[in-house]
Amino acid sequence: MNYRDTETPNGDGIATKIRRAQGAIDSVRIGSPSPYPSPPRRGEIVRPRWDESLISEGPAVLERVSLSPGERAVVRASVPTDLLRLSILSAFVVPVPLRISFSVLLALSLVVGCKQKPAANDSPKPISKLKIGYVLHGLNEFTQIIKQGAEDAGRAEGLSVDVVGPAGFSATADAIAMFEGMTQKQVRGLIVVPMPGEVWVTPIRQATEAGIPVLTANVTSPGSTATAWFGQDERASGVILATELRKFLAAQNKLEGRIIVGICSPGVGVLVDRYEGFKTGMAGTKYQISEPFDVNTENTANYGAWENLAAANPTTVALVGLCSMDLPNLAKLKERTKGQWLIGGYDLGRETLDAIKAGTVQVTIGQHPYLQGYLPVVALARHFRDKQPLPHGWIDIGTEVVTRDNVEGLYGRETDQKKQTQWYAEYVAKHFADLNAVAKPLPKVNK
Amino acid sequence: MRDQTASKYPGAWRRLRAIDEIGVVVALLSVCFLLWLATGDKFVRPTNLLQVARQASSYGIMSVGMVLLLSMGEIDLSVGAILTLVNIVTAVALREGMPMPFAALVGLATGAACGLANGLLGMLLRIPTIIVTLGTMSVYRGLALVLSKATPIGNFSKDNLLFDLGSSNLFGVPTSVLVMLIVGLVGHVVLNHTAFGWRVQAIGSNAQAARFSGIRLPRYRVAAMTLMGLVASIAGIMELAFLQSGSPTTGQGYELYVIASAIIGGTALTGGSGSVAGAILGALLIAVIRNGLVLLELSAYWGTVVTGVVIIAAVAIGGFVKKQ
Repeated sequence: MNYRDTETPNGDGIATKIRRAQGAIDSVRIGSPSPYPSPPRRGEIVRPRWDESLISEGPAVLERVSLSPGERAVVRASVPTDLLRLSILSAFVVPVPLRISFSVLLALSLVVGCKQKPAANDSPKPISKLKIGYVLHGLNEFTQIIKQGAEDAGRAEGLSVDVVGPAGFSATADAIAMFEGMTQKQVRGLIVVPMPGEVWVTPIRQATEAGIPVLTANVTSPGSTATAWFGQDERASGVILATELRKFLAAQNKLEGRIIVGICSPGVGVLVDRYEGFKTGMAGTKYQISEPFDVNTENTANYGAWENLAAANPTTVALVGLCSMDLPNLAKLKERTKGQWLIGGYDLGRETLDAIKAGTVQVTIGQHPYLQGYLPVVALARHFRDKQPLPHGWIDIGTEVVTRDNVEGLYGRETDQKKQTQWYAEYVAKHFADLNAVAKPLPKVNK
Repeated sequence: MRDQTASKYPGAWRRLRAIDEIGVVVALLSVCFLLWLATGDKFVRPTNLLQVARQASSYGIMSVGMVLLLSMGEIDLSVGAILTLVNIVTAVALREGMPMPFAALVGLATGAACGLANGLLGMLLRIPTIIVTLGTMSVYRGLALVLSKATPIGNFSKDNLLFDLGSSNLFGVPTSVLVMLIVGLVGHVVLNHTAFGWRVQAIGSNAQAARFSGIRLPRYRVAAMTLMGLVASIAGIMELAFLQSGSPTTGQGYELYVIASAIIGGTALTGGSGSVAGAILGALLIAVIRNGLVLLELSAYWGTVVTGVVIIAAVAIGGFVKKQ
């Protein structure tokens, strides 16, 4: 339908509304000269046009367009500021319900946006405009600590770190899209948790070909062009977990029996490595290690899966979880069912540490997520600012064994952000002063 | 043989075929029977059966709201995200020192508001609810992440009735199962014995005819979406009460299981009819399958395959019985 078709003798048709909208646009641009020598004539509409010279000023210039009969006016937003103008224009040509809903959404966005306050621990803005991107594999308690480490490093090194990640852990495509978005934003360097490593080879290669150095953390991408990986040897961590759990089992004189292992995301390389390592660590004993059971990443389903496993295996001597949500749920289950089995697993969330303190959980393996965020940012900062070469190979950030004996010392660090920042600042100065010096050849793990 | 049976028991057979839930009942009984044969008394132990019922309660509670929506020809993809948001909002309210009854009310209001927002957005923007809720699913999940900073919230007092009841049994039955049954009963009455329920089904059966008969479609759509949000918030609070901490990973992927529960239970995806009892049985079937996979010690990889096969089989059985 031609917009002119709706015009009426009273002048309340679409064309009139559009002209009114033009007036509204001019009226909001107080102080800026109108690009029009005269108001548009009947049948003319204005549309925003991209103009490179005006990027710094924000608004795009308006282009005069004449409508011939039967021609439909097309309005496109070219720059973000055009959205405001487009909204105003739309307000005159869209139905009332749409207007109301747009207004409500706009008002809500403004209220939320204006009420944003910087976090209490935010330091002054970075002195440098150097921008680093960090793409996580998901958002949860564990990656939140990685994010904290990366942002602390950004503040300490005076650069801007943009940390992003998909909400779900199976959203590899989303993570890759975010990574590619970062390369389009032309950040100076990129850090990524490439899970699973194999599918990240091409995106990482494309970024490095575009001149953006890429570092990996937590897991690595074998065969990719990433220069360094900051993480722990997952297989070795499984061996360590098995060794520690054996000590607890022996202390309770449980020298044989079945050990049930749960995997929250079957097929994820890191978790399979942990499982293989655990089996290796238990080799030569009389314990029977189960195949890894799917215990789900969703919190309630995870609890339910462990509940089923515990009920189906009443004589099991230990339950072992390979993911961060396992231990809090296992601890609750053990308390409720008065379970006699031992518990071992991964990560240092508050609930896990509380359960270690209470003696419900025997051992957990920490993987210094803070350092996985902190150290790669430091490496890139030193590379760009001090012209130091990027580390090549593997920066082994180490594995932490937490039991009731040492949990008190770690509890403060893991539950208080300020203490965490301070503790790791000293730890980094002591152990990772020269990243190139501690870099090792990549091991054949975490594929 | 079939004809003989039909001629011998024409009334009974016809009545059996007319039951919407026949597919899920047959599937559930079959799966239970097979598990009983395969695992011995492990499956039929009362503690195990109660455990399975509790594991089904969240899907079961939410599927009541979903039956209402599907009967109307609508669908809500944001139910899992609403549950997550309510879970987190209630936990934050408790952490900030709000008394338990008020915190629970805040949670319920949040869920209802999310449902209302879904309905209003669909009505005002004239967008199908499946699209609106696809968007709000992300919004609500994002808000839960913002509020929780992607970290579980458990540092609040659990010394109150909600947490005492939520993690224990009442009359020997897990509280969340009782809540599921109460919500199911209310949902059944609303759907089958009130003008609201009849109109909802009329809209799902033929929206055009419903409009011409004077039913205000937008009003009913908004009301049904709000009820869905409210029902999801009940499930969110029950999960908080059971797990004693709010987690941003709670509720992920629930929408598909909730929709599956309703459809397995005999609710037509095309609208016009629905069965609350069937939906709850559908939720039970999903929980039984999960339990069975563990009892049978199936590999994690094969377990996923089996879940899908059994769900398809349940719906197929329903169709087959009805056709016969």
